[in-house]
Amino acid sequence: MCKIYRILYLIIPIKKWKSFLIRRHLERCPSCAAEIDLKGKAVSAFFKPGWIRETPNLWPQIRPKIISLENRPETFRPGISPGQLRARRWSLAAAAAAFLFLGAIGFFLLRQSDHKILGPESSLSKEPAALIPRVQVISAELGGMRAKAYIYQTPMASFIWIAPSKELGELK
Amino acid sequence: MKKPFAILIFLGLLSLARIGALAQENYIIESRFFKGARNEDPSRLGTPVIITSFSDRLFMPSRTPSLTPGGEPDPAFTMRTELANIYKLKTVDYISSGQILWDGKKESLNEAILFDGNLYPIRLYPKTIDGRTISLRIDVRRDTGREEGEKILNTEMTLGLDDPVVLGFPVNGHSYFLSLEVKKPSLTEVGQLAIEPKGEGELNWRQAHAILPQPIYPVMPIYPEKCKKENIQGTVILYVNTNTEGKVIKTRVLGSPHSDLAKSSVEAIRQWKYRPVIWQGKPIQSEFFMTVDFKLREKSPSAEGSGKKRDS
Repeated sequence: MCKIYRILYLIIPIKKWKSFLIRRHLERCPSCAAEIDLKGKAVSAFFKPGWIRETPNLWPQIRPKIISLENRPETFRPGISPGQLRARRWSLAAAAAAFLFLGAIGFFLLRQSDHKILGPESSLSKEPAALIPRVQVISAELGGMRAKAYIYQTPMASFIWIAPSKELGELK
Repeated sequence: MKKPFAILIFLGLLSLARIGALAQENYIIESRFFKGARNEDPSRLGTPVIITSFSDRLFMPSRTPSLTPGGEPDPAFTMRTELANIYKLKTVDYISSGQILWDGKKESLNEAILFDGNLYPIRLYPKTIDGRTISLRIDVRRDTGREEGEKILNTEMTLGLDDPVVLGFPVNGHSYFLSLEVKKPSLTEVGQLAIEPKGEGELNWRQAHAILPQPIYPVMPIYPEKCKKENIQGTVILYVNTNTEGKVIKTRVLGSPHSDLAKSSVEAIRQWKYRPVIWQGKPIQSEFFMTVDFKLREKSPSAEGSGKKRDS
């Protein structure tokens, strides 16, 4: 058989097309016809023991069967329609996309919760530490009177002592 | 095959979106309360049981300040030591702590601490500034039975996320310290948000922002003798529901270090009577959280430190 048809035979997925093409080729291609003829002659040249009866020509019986097979609708695995197969492929793609999406969100949340990206550390990376006030007291009252705030800072926390102040006077 | 799969993916994405939103929108405000004295305080830990009420969702049990089983210092314990050193205090007692949820929208959060026979309502007014800085007004009062109460502290400040601030102020010769830290919830805490108890009264606790009913007949729980002997201490967390008359109609234990402590807490809280919350001119049901801290008298960190020095 011609090389090109051997390749086609291998790659064409649909049985119907495959058998049609091969049959048409064998009928028309002179080299393939000669090859088959040669094979037939070679077979007949072999010694034929007497007990082997000549087999009938099966081609006329096979041909209509092949044609009927060609006309039959293509069969798939039981229970799975082409639509289901397509849906399955889409589901797999969606699952992969969802998995990637979940992974990305998980990574983002973990990063946020572990490193506290909204915390003061992130702000420190942008500006020098001395310029960022960790805490700012806007107003202070003690027992209804204005009070003073004294701030003492350690790496652990900002400690603010609110003390009464006579100079500031009573609140109105 | 296709439909359940699609539904599962949809639900998964929905829950993830919810978790992401919860982590972004909500803040946790952690508060700790301490009492210090320059000299030996005879009234120190006169009440071994301290009750704190919270108007909003409360997170994980407050731990008794001590070394954790892993040998790491408990944050409250470290803070006590730091307070004793900075302010030259002889004793620093941890009163209570709580981690409450702030949804970034509510105008105020309420907390009330009952100890030494006084009720101290603490009201926090948080406001976000730029996602990294919080503006906070703190109002501490002593309940006198009247609506206004006695003003103790009223201060306004801005503070950064994850950077604790400790406010110290004098009251009747004693030093009180309120430590506050605003932080974003961690993944574990976001998980807790998803399983929050649902409000059952006519006023859901989510909506009851600034409303915490005022107790008019508080009964203190009895420290069980068995727990005292076995040195069992810790915090019982309760969910409390009061009716329109101010009676406690439901209590649910959310966490307890020992069943006897939980039993004692529930027995006492069931007898409490509250002034009902008035909402749009009508008395309404209330739902809130409570912590009951059972603590045994212990040495102050400064005393422990000086003891070690003397030994060496």
